[in-house]
Amino acid sequence: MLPKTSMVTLNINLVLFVLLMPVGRGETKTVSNSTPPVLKKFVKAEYPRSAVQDKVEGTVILELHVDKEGKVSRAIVIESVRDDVDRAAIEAARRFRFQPAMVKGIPVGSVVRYESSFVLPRDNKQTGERKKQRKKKTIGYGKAEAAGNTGKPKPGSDSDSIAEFTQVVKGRRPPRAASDWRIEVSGRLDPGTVSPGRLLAMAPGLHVAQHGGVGKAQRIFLRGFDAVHGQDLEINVEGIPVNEVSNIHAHGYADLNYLIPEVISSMRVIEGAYDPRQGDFAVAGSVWIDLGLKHRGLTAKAGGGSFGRARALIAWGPRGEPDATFAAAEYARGDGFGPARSWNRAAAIGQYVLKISPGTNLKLLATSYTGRFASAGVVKEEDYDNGIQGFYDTYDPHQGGLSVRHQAMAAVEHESNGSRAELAFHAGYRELRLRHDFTGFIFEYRPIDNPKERGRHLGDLTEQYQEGLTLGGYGSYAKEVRFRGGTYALEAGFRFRHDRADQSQKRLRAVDQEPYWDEIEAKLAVTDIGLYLDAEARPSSWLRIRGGVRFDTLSYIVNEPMEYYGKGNRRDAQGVHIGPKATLEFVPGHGLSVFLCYGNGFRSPYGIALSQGERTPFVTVHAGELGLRWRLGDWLDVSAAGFFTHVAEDLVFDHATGRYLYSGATSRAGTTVSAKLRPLDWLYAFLSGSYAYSVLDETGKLLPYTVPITFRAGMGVKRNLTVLWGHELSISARLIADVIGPRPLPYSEETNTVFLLSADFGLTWGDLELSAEAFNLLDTKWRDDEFAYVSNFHNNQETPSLVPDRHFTAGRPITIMAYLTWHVF
Amino acid sequence: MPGANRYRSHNLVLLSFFSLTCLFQTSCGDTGEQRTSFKMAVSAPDDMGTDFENDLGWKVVLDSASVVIGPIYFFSGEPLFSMSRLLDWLDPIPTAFAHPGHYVAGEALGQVLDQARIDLLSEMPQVLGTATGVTGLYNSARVYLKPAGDDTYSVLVTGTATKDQDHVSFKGELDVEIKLEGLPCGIHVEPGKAGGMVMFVDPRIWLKRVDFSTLAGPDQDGYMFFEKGTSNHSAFSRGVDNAGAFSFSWK
Repeated sequence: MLPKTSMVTLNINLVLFVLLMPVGRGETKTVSNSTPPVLKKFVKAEYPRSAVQDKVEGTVILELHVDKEGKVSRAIVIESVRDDVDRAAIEAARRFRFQPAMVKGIPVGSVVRYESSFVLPRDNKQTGERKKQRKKKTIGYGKAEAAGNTGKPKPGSDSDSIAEFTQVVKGRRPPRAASDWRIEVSGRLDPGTVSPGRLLAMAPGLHVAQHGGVGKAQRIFLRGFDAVHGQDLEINVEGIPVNEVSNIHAHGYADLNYLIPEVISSMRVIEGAYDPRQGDFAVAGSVWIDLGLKHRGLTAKAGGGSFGRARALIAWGPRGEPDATFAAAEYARGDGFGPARSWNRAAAIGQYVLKISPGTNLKLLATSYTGRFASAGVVKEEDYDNGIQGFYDTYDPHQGGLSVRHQAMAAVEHESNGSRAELAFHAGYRELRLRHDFTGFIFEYRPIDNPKERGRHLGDLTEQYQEGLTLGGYGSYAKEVRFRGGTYALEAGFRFRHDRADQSQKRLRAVDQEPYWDEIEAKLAVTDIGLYLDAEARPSSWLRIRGGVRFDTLSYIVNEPMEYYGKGNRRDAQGVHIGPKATLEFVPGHGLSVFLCYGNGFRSPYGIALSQGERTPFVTVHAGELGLRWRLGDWLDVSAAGFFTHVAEDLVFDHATGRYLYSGATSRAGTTVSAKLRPLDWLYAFLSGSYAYSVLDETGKLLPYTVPITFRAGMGVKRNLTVLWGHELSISARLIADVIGPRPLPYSEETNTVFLLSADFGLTWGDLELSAEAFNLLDTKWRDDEFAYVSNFHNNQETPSLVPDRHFTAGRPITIMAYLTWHVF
Repeated sequence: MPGANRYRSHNLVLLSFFSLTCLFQTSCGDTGEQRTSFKMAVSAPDDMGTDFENDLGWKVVLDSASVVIGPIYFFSGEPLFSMSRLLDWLDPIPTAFAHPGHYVAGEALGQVLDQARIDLLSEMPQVLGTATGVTGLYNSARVYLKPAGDDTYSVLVTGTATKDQDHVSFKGELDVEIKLEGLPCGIHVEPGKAGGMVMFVDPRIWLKRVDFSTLAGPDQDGYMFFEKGTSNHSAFSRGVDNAGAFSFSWK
């Protein structure tokens, strides 16, 4: 039996014209002849039996369209928990009745957002504490909780029989563009996401490749950009920047391997540069990752599978605390699917949200990670064709690396009536050692100062090392005003980071992996101070105008002590970038929104390439987009966008030499489409596709290495089967197909189309969950990444080939993993 | 395919059009040059006879002229001495070079990795092998002459030199690797272009500055030879190293 309620708090805020920022505590002010809608009839949502038995908690965020009669004409899920919970929230919300919003005494339609939280019952003491807490402000962006009706838990009831149901109002940042996605991750990991970087691929049009082993940052492709290891995609985790400025291996290097997939609650991916909060590296777009753990209590998970893969996880989410409070640790290892592919890693993440006063929260976050991995490198296509090299072979087994990251953050968030402020500081230590050999014996340096090694062929194995410290912070203040019937919001904020890094690059002898040449020795100090102003106006129910500007100042001090015969060379540079942004959103009704966006983004320059006194040459991108979103009831959600970007002076990364080369101006145009379909309660499907046409302005030729076409389609089922020995047995299964279209390579060549089929399966019974996932079901031999450059792996000094050849890194063959998860308590 | 040679950001509409057009095609546009292959042959110049007179007045009749060639590489870099430089001299509007006088090979565009002994007195060009590479302007070449296989020499020439009453049967032989860098080529290799490339090697230039009266010998075969360390050996070596002995043509 499911008693419906324990505590209900409700606050409906007029978000009629303000979605940018949170609004107050549900006041119904009359401003300039307009009044917001007022709730007259509230209906409590029923906690779905299946969700209670599954111990599923969460918060459904709905956008309610209130007509001029005060009825809820539409209820749109903005953030989902799962099907049955979403439906329960919608069914209740549709029965709400409002006093309609009024303008000059005339009833008008309006839009209201509210949050419906489903929280499982605790014991009496805990529940009492929670009730007290809920009378205070909640945490997180845009939440504004109000006191309201409070249900009473059934005394003495246990978690199987009593459900607690709360409702609070929450204002979320609305999408800046049709391609501004919020992706709920918890419980919806893709097959093969044992590497957290692959989570990024859940965003439509975003493709990642893993050419350097499990532990190296993924190579990212988005909207016609070869973002290499992050140079064109800004990534933040809980507001902490992940991209590393002027990393010795690649600018903007974004290593997400320190994340534990199970504690990633959601991702916001914006493709384009339309939000003033977007900073350095937001050329193709930005990703903000939020952490959280849905399951409360202690969870233990362990599993293993193909190629010696094994993984153990323990996670704890204290009951009575929000999802954002948790602690988790994991250890994972694998032998790899071929020589030189073994890896292991350990990570721990803890986050605690402390309410320190009504409306004020303190958030503390700490992460620690170390991972070591081997890397097989590339295979020359010609050698594979001639049977000299196997598909999964390696030329140099000494490639690989070690990656370490420790970081901490403290953030204070405060909400009061109609305003919100936040202030955060973070610090991080980073260490990375990479050894790679992309060329064999091409760039080898023969030291003239060491007669013993003169004339010897020493090899191109390269060691890159980086040790860095990052200090940073961010803060913002948001306020809304109402004026002449319209609602206007303003947010001002800042972000800063200071990076100090010691980096070096050495050539190692093939024979014993000892260094024989110091190529780079540098110390960098980089400071980025960014200020932004963001405004929103909603002068009518069908028009939203958002816009702002981002102002960044970057300074560099570069010290290369080995330069000029050891006397050293120190130089400094500083420059500014101003990036305006604007979005027009038309809301004609019937679930349709049309977006027209413009944004100016930037990428900082590569530190050691700077000259003394240089005005830091930012890579500037102009991005535009026309898109739409359409939601038809609860069963269809479609978005489509056409985009155009222009980069004034682009950089391309030469993987063979590890250097950046200026390519001149580039332009890209294309489209991204995404659709979600839920024809039946237990059946869902999704598909997304993207196309990008990328050219060099100077020649009109295609940009090599980009990913023009991506396509993903999948379908899944999730339903309860039966009750077995007092516990419900439920099943879930999913099948996903990925297609990566032909990618242009230099010399008018292109890669083969890649088709991958993956699946996962889950069986839940009470507190136990058995899950399995299979990646590359068809066991396709596919090339994860491809390159064209000169190599000489066989040390042929008689007739070495100097013409660029094709090389590839092998993709993962069929990989099956199985896990057992136990929600201990 | 968009044929725009110059592309500017204001061509938004054009780019969008092309992108939409290309959306429905499996392949649209290209990244520039294309991979190609062609036959590579070696021959003496068309006007090559068996007799000629060198700079020192010796009338030379060649009995044999062989060279072991390969590999050959073609580069985008402009050679040190090429027709364009000559034109620059004739038309002295200054052209800026970062380091005038230093040959920079640039990007390797093509290569023939085969090695073969070539008889330069053969009436027909002899195929060295198949060149592989990419299309584009092959501005310069790097040619290796080096012993390979059973051939213990890189260059071998025999003949008779006559001056006044002196008749000298000579044999010139180099057994070391010779790397000829920055040879002028200037051939635009285009996709699907009929024919192949011919490299002309003129052995007359090898002997241009040789004074046959001071050769050493005779050896066991009765030939006078170029003794290492002598001025004649040096003149012969410099002749082989002379970029003017090599030229390229597409036939």
